[in-house]
Amino acid sequence: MASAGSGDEKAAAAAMITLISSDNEKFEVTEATATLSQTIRHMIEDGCTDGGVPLPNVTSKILARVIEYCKKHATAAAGEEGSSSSFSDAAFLEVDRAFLEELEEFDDAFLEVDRATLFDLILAANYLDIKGLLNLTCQKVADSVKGKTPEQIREMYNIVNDLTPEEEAEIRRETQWAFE
Amino acid sequence: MAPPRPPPELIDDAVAEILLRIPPDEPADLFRASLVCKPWLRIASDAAFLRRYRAFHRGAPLLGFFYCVGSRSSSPTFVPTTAASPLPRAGYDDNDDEEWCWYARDCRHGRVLLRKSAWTFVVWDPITGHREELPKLDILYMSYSVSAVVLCAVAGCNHCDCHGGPFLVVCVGRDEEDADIAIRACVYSSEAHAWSTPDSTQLNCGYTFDRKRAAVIGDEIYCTIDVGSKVLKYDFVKHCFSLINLPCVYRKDSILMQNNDGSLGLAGVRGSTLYLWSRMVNQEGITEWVQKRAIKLKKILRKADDIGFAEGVGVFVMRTSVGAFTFELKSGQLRKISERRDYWTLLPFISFFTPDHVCV
Repeated sequence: MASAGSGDEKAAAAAMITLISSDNEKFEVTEATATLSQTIRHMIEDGCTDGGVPLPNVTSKILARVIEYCKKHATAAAGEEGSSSSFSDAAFLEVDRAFLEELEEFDDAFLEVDRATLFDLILAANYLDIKGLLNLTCQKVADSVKGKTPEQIREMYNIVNDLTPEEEAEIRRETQWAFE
Repeated sequence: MAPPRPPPELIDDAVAEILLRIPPDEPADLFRASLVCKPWLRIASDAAFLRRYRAFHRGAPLLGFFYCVGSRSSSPTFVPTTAASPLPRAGYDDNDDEEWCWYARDCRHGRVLLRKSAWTFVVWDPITGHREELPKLDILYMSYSVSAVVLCAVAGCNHCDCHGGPFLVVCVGRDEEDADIAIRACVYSSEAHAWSTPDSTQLNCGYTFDRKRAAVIGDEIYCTIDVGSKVLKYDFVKHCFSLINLPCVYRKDSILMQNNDGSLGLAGVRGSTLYLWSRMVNQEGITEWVQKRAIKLKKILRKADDIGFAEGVGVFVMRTSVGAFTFELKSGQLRKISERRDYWTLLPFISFFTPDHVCV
């Protein structure tokens, strides 16, 4: 698990990057996987990845999940580029659709996590600047607050209400329509 | 079993990313989320965040329909299509002139055009509350002899964030004081605070202008005249008029619209079917009506006697003897939004409603 992608011959031939989690676990990933993170892409461009990339904000548990996401989506991106010449347009569209469906299924399964992990993934995606993962995880939370009261949202995500009762009452009065 | 680990605290950037993705179609959701705690409130009511929010969701959502009750004592009423409505059902109410009912004549780009008297229009922004009474018209239009539209005056605007910006009002109709049955059109610019010099034409039709929402495509206004028998087109930049025949006479139960591809569209109910047409250029270079879709309607909508359409969100509203219904084109979803009322027009109100001014 710690040396993600090492069994893949193609991947082994590609440039590898070592990511180091906050609890000091090392993950070896291909550059294609790592560069889904804009933060790491910039580090590679600046030549600051020798000796590994320390990620003090991301635990090994979360980093493993993030890498799982990036590997899947990097493969999909490479597959799309590689397949375009060998298929007719119609066949390509078919392959494309199958890819997208598979990716969607992967994303759905990927989101089957507890709320704490979901928030950890959001923080990691934000820190590593992984647009797809940030969108996926934040959309899940945004959808989950639909139709919920502020109390229910606080309860769901362990958020401390630091508004005074007076402040809250005043806003509720001003925007009464939203709370009826 | 140990209790589940509580979620970690989020940094502001992550909160913004979540709030950004709360869909705008139920505006109450973002308002309720803003009351979770101080950081969430600060972000959700921040002007820069809200500009980003409106840009992220591209098209504004449908909040409901304004309609004009056919009674002199009543004001335009709002029928929400959202679960919780930021606009009160009672809608616009101003009783300083009880002699005349305020007719809602158009609703577009987040603004409502109200007719205060034969000569006076008012443009009202239900989101900001701003209202502007336009200078008196020099032309006498009767309520049945004019079509009027309000539109944002900014070229290339996506109308997600143009509240408070400049607007135009365009009136096309029959001048009741002209014995030669002249059709006159004029344009009000909020920047110039004045009506333009009218354009006129002579027509052997256009005795009545249908109390329907006109379609606006670029600088062209399209309205149906003489109980849905013809379309009058007025180009307010080229200052010219033309008549367009309709593919089929639907009379009251039809509406003109701008299609997603930018073409002029027509929707009409005949029997149990809703027909959608598009005006397109054929291979010979001739512009003609092409029937794009025929949708079998559920029994309850077959007796629709008035329809409206919310462009951009693809929702029809249909009035029947048992109430008004919305019909979503994409999903086919049908919803009852109000009981039967005698109203003239069904005007979709499409706008973001965001917590801009909520703060402690």
